[in-house]
Amino acid sequence: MRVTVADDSALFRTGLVRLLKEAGITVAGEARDGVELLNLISADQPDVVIVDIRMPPTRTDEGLTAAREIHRRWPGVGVLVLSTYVDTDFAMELVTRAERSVGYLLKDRVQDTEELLDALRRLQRGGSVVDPEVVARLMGRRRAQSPLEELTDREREILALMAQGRSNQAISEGLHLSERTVESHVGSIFSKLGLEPTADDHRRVMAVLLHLGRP
Amino acid sequence: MLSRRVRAWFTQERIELALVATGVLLGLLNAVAVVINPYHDSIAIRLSSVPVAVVVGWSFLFVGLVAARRRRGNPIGVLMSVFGVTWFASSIGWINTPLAWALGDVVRLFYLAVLGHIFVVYPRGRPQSRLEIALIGAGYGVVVIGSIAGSITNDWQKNCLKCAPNPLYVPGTSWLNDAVVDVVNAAAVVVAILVVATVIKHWLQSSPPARRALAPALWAILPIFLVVVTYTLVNVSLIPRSWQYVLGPIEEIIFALLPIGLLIGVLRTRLGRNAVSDLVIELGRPPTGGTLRDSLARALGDPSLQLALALPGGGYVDSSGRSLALPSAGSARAVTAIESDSKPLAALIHDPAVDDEDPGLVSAVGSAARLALENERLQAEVRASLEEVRASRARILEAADAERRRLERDIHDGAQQRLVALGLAIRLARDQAATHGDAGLVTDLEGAATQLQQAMGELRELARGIHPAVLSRAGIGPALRVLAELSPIPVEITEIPAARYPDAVEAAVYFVVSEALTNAAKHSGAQRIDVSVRRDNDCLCVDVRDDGAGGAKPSGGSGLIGMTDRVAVLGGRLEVSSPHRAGTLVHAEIPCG
Repeated sequence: MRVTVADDSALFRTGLVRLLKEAGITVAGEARDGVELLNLISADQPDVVIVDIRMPPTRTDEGLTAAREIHRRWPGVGVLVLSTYVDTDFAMELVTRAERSVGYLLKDRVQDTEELLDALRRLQRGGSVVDPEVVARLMGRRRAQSPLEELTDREREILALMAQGRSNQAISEGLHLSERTVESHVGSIFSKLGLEPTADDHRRVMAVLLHLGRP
Repeated sequence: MLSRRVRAWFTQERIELALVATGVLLGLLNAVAVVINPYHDSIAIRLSSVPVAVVVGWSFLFVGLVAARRRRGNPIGVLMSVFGVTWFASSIGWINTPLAWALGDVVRLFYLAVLGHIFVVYPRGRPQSRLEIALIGAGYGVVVIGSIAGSITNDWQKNCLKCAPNPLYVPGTSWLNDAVVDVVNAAAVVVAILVVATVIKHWLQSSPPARRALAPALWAILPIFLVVVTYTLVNVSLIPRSWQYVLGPIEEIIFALLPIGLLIGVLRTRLGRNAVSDLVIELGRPPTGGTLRDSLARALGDPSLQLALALPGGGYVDSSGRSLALPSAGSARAVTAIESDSKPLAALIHDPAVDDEDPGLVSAVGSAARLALENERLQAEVRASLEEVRASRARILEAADAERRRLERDIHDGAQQRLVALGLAIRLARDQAATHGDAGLVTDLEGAATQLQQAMGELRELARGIHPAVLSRAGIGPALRVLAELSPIPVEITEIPAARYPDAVEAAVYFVVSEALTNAAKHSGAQRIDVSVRRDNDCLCVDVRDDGAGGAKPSGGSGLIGMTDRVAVLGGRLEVSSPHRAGTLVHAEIPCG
C-alpha cells in the first residue's frame, strides 16, 4: 500500500513515516501543508492520504478542504483526517458530506499500529473510518423518546461499531459472534431506527451517523 | 474722505437724538394742528382725537429707542422710531401753507412702508434674503411713487372749495387720478399680502424661542392687514365708505397697542432675566426628579438644549458620562461655554435664536447654575470613570479570551503534537525491544505509552476547558452540543440559534451553560437538564433548567459569580432562581448587538 503523509509537525511526520515503513507500508511522499499535498498526489499515486486537520496557513480546517479537493480530483484515493481533539460536528461534516470513503481519527490512535493499519486497509477498500470517541459522543447525545432506547445492549454495541465503519465481518470477529448473527442484529437495528439497509460501506456509516447526529 | 467723516458723524446716538427731536416736534405740531384744525367743526371731536394720534406716534418713537438701546446693532429699534416719526409726517400739512399741506399729503402714508419693513425684518432687524430686500424696496417704492403720483394728479379744489390750490398739481392731469389711485391700491394690496406671507413663513420656520419673539409681530400684522385691505376696498368703492368710520378707531387702537406688543417682544428678554432668578430658586430647592438640563432648558425656553460637561483632562461628556463632541463653528447650533476659575466647566449647546432673542441670557443662566453645573460635572466625571472602568473590564476580558484561545491553540499545535510524536517514538522503541526479545523493556514501554495516553487525554480536556476550539470554529450550537455530549446528566438542547455572534458573546453563552451544567452535575441530583438559547431583539436569552433539588446559591463559591461578572461586562444580566426542591433555572440575557 502507498501512503502520503501531510502534517506541519516534522517530529510527528518522521515518527509516523518510520512507523508505517516498519509496518511494511510504502510512504510515497511527505507534505507540510494542504497545497504541498495536492501537488504531490499526481506523482506519488498514493492509495491513502493521511492528513492533519489543522495545518498552515490558518490552522483551522485545511485538512478538510484538502480532503474534499482530493475526493474531487482523485476519486480512487482514500483520505484519513487526523485531529488532536474530538470535534463531533467536524467529523460529522467530513463523513456525511463525503461521496466516498473517508476517515476521521484522533491523532493519539496512530500509536496503536494495528488500529492504524486496519483503518488504512478499510479506506483502501472503500470503507469509512470514524473515531470510537466520536461515535461514543454521538451515542451520548440524549434526546427524549430516542429510538436508541429501544435497542438492546448488544445492538447498541454493534451500532457503535457500524458507526466506526467496521464491516460485519470485522464486527463478528471483534465480538466473537457468527457473521450471520451480526447480520441479523444489523437488520434489527436498521428496522428499529427506520433506516434503509445498504450494501455500500460508506453509505452505511453515513446513514448511521446521520441518524445519531440528528438534531 | 469726506463721506467717511460724514458717516462717522452719524453715530447711533445722534440719529436717535435727531429722531426724538423730530418726533417730539411733529407730535406737538400734530396735537396743536388737530386742535386748531380748521376743517373740523366740533372742538370736542378735535380734542378727543389728540391722545390717540399722539400716543401711537410717541410710543413707537420711545419704545423704538428703548429697543435700540437694548439691542445695539439691531436696526429694529431705529425702524420703530422712524415709524413714530413718519406716523406724524402728515402733520406737516397742518402748517397752514399750501406747500406744507401738499408735502403732508405726499408723506401721509410713508408710515405704512416703514411698518411693512418692520414686519419683514422682525425680530432680527435685517432681511434674510434678496427676496425680502426686494419686498421692502417694493413697499417703499409703491408708497413713495404712489403718493407722489397721487398728489401731482390731484386737483383737490374740485372737491374742496375752501381748500388752497395744490401747488404740486400738474394742470390737466386730474383725469388720471382715479387710475393712479387704483393701480397704487392694487400694488399696495399685493405688497401687503407678500409681507403677511413672509411673517407667516418666518413663524413656520422658527424654533420655539424664535417664535416667542415673533409672536407680537404675528398677532399685530393680521388685524392691520385686514384694516389696510379694507381701506383699499373702500377706496376702490367695493365696500361702503361708512365702514371707514368704524375702521378708523380700530386702526388707531391697533396702532396704539402694536408698540406695546413689540415692547413685550423686547421685554421678553426681561422675562428671560426673571427665568434666571426662577432658575436660581429652583436649583436651591431639593431636586424634583427633573434633570439639571431640563431646568436649564426651561429657563432658556429651548427644549433642544444639550448640556456638555467638561472633563478635567479635556473633552466633554453628557450627564450620563458618554463622551460628546461640541458642534463645530458654522453649524446650526450655538455653543456657549461656561467657565469656573477660568477653567472650562460646561458648554450649553442651544438654538442660536436664544442669543438673538436675548444676548447674554445663556451666559446668565449658565452662571446662575454654576454650582449645580459643577455638581453635575463631578457626577458626570464619576460616571465617565465608571464607563471607563466598564470599557477596561471589557478589554481585560477580551484580552483574557484572546489569551485563552492562543493557549488552547498552543496546546493543540505545540505540546499535544510533541506528545503524539513522543508516543510514536515509544511505540517504535517498544517494537525494537520486542524484536530483541527484551520482554521487561517491552512491558515498561507499554506502561509508559499508557501513561502518555492518559496525559494526552487530560491535556485535551484542559485545552477544552481553557477555550473550546469548536466554539471559535463553528459557534454556539456545535460547542453546546459538545457540552451536552460530555454531561453526565442527560441534556436536551431545545433551541439554539444557527447564526454566529461576536467572540465575547459566544464565549459568554458557552461559559454560562458550561458552568450551569457543571453545577447541576455536582449538586442538583437532576435527571434531566434543558438548555435553550434564543434571540430576543438585541439579546441572546440563555436558559439552563434542571429538575434537581434546587437551593443553589449563586454566591456560594460557585463559578456562577465569575459568569455574572462575564455577562455584566457585556451589559447583560444573569439570574439564578433555585427554590428548594423545585429545580434550578439559570437565566442570562446577553446583548448581542
